[in-house]
Amino acid sequence: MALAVKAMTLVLCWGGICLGLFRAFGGARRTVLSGTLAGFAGGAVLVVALAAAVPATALAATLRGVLAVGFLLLGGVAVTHLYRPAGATLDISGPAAVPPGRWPAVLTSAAAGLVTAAVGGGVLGALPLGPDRLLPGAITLAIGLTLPFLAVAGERRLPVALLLTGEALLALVVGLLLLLSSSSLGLDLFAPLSMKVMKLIHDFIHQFFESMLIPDHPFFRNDVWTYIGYLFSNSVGFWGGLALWLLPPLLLVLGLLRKPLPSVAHIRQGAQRRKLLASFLRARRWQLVVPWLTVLVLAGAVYRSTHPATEYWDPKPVPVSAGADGTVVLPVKDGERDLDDGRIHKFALRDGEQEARFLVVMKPDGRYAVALDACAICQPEGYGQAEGTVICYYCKTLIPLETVGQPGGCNPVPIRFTASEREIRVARQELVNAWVSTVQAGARVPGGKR
Amino acid sequence: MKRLLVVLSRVVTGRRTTPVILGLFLLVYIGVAFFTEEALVTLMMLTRRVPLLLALLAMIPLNLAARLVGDLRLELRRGRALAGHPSGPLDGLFDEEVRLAGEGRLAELEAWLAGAGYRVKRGEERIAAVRGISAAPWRLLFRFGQFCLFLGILLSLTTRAVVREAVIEGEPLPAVAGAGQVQGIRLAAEPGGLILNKSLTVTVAVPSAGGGRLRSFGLYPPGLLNGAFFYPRYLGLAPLVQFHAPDLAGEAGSYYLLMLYPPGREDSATIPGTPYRIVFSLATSPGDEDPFLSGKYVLNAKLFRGEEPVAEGRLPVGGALERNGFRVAVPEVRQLVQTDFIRDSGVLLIWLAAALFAAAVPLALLILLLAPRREMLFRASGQEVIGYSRAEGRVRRHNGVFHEALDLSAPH
Repeated sequence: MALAVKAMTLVLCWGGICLGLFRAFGGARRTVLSGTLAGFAGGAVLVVALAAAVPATALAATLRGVLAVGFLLLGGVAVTHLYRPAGATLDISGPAAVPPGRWPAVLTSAAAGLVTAAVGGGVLGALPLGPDRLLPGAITLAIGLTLPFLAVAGERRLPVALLLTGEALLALVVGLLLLLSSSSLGLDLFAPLSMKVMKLIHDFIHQFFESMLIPDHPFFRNDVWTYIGYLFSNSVGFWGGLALWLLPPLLLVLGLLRKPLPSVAHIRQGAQRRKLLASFLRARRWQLVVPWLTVLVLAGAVYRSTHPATEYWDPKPVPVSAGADGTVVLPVKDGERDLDDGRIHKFALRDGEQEARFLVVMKPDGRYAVALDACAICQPEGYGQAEGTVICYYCKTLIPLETVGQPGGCNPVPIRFTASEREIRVARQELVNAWVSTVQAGARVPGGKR
Repeated sequence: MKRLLVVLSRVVTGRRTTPVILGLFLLVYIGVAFFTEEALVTLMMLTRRVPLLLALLAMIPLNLAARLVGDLRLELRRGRALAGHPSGPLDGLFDEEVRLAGEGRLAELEAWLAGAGYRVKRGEERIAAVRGISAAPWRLLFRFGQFCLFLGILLSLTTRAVVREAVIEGEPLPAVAGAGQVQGIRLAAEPGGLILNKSLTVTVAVPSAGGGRLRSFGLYPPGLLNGAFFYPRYLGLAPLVQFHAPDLAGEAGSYYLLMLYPPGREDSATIPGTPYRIVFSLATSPGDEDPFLSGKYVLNAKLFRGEEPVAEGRLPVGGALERNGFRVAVPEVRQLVQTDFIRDSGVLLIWLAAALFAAAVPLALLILLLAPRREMLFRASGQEVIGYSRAEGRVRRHNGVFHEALDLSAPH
C-alpha cells in the first residue's frame, strides 16, 4: 500500500514536471522528450552506481543538498522577479513564454529528469539497492520512461492561455520535486527547515533581549512571558518554516500582481483601452495559475512531511531504579526483553520529582550504546527507531544508528556505561546529572526546553 | 575610474542593494548553520571579524541614507511641480507621462476634475489635481527608521563592550561603573505592571560637584552610569558563610556571591583550601512570598566533600546547620544584583528605529487604505498637452479619471 502511494506521488510529480517542460518549451517538444528520457535514464543509472559506492545516508544527504540548492535558487529567482524594473510588462505573446532554444530545452529537461529519477529512486526505497529493492527500482524506471510520452499528448489539451515563464517552470519543477521528496524521511526538507527556523527565532529573540537590554524572565508578568514563550514553541518553528517554504511562489505571485498595468493613456477610444487592459488582466490571471499551484504543491509537501507514513519503533520506557551502590543494572535478557535485538529499549529512572529517560541499543557493529532519550538541542520529545536510523521526534532529524552513542548535534546525549555478557550497568548520578544539565538546564532561558 | 565611480554610485543608491546584501547574509547564515548549532552567534562573530562582511553590513545604512536623500529630493521636486513652481524635467516623478496633440481646454478640465473630487490648482498653462493624503512623510520616517536600525546594528556589533560585575548592598560600585557606593537594593511587586510584575530599585550614592547625590537604577529602560548602561541580569545573595568540619582546624568564614534567584535555583560555594563545597538554594513553600520581596531568607544547604554528600538541611539567615560534626552558619546576607555594564552606541539608534516604525507603519497603512494620494498634472504647450499621473492607491479608478481627463483635454 505504502509503495503504491509513493508510486502514485512519483507519477503525479514526474507527470507534472513533464507537462510543465513541454508547455514551457512549446516549440521544441522532440528535444524536450529526448532530454527528459535521457535525463531520467541517466539519473537512474547514476543513483544505482552511487548507491553501490556510498552509504545510503550520504547519498540521501547529497540529494537533499541538491533539493535545497534548487529551493534556494527558486528563492533567488523569485526575489529577482519581484525587484525587476517596474517598466517590464507581462509577455502575452504566445503559448511558449520561455524563449525557444535547443540547448536550454535539452539542459533543463535533462536536469529535471536526472533529479527526478534520483529523488524518485530515493522515495521508492531504491537507494540502498539490493535484490529486495529491484521492484521499486523497476517501477521508478518504468514510470520515468513512460510518462514523458503521455505528457506530450496531455500538454496539447492544456488551455492555450496557460503560459509558463522561466520562473514559473522553475517553481513548478522545484515544488513537485519537494513534494516527491517529502514522501521519504531521508529526503524531506521541510522538517529540518522548520527546525532551523525555530532555532533562528530562538537565537534571534535571545540576542534581541540581550541587545535591547530587556530584563530576564523572572521580572516579567506570567501571562506576558507565556506569550513570549510561544515564540519558542514547536508551532512557531512550523509556521515560520511554512512561511519560508511558501515564500518563493508567493513572491512570484506578488511580483506578477505588482507589475504595472500597461500604459493605455495614448489610446483615445475608451472601449479599446478597456479591452487592452482586460486582455492584460486575463493574461495575468493565467500566469498566476502556476505560482498558486506551486503553493498548493508545497503545502502538500508540508502535509506529507508532518504526516509521515513511516511507523516508528517506540517502546514505552520501563521504570528502573538504582541499587544501594547507586548503579542501575539492566539485564541483557529479561523475560521478553532482549537488549541484543538491535532495537532501541527505553527506560525511565525516577529521582525525586525528576524522571530521566534513557535508551539502550545494540548497534549494527555489535556494540551497545546507552544515551538519554533526548538531545542537547531540542525539547525532550524522545526518539523513535526506523530502519537503520533513529529519529528525533522534535526536529525530525534522522540519526544513523551507527552514530548513536556519539555526542553532538541532535544525537541522543551519550551516557557512560559498562557492559558484560549478562548486564549493562549505568551510574545513577551520571544519568541524573546528564539529564539535569543537558535537558533541563535550558528550562529557564528563553527558548529553553520545557 | 569614472566608470567605477558611476557603478559605485549606482550600488550605493540602488533599491536592490539592501535586499541583495540581506540575501547574502542569509546565504552565509545557511552555510554556517551546516557546521554549527549556534549559527546566529557565529554569524555575528564572523561579521565582526571579517572585513568584507563588515563592509557589506556598512553598505546597508549607506544605501538607506542615499535612498532617503533621493526620496526626499523626489518628493520636494514633485511637490514643486504640482504647486506650479518652475522646475526642471519631470522625469521619474510620476508613474505615467502622456503627450497628446490638442489645445488643452484647461477651463473645462478644471471643472471636470473638481467634480471628480480632486483639489484643483490652475495656472496659466497648467492644471494640477490632487486627491487624498500623501503617505510620503511617513514613508520617509519609515526609511529613516530603517537607516537607524541598520546603523544601530552595525554600531552595536562593532562597539559593544560588556563587563559583568556584582553590585552589592553597602559596597562600593565596581570599578567599571566609576566611583560610588551602593546604598540599597529593593525588589518590589508591581501587580499593575503592563509587562513587568516586579520593580527593582538600585540606589547608588555617586560623587558630584555638590558633594554627592543619590541615583536610582531600575529594570527598564536601563540607566546610564559612567557612560555604560546599567543592565541588571540576575538577583543574588552575598551570605557570610562560616564553616567548620571535623577534619579542619578552626572555622573558615567568608562572603560568597551566589546567584539564587528565582527561588529553587542552585549555586555553590567552594570552601577554599578544602575539599568541601556547599550547594545553596532559597527554600520556599507553596504560598510563600518571594524571599526577595519579603527580605526573609531561608537557605537550603547541601554540603559535599568532593562528590560525596555529607550533610543537608535548612539554614535560616542568622542561624546555623549542624550535622555529623559539620557546622555551617550564615550570620548575615546582603542582596546583590549581577549587572552587565554595557557600552554600546547602537542601542539608542535601535530604540529610535523601533519608535519610528511604531509611528510610521500604522499611519502610512491607514492613509494608504483610507485616502491614498492621487495626483495629476496637465501642461498645455501650443498644440500639445502633456499629462502626468501618479497614485499611491486605488490606481485603477484614478487611471480611469486620468484617461477621461486626457480625452477631455485632447479630444479625438
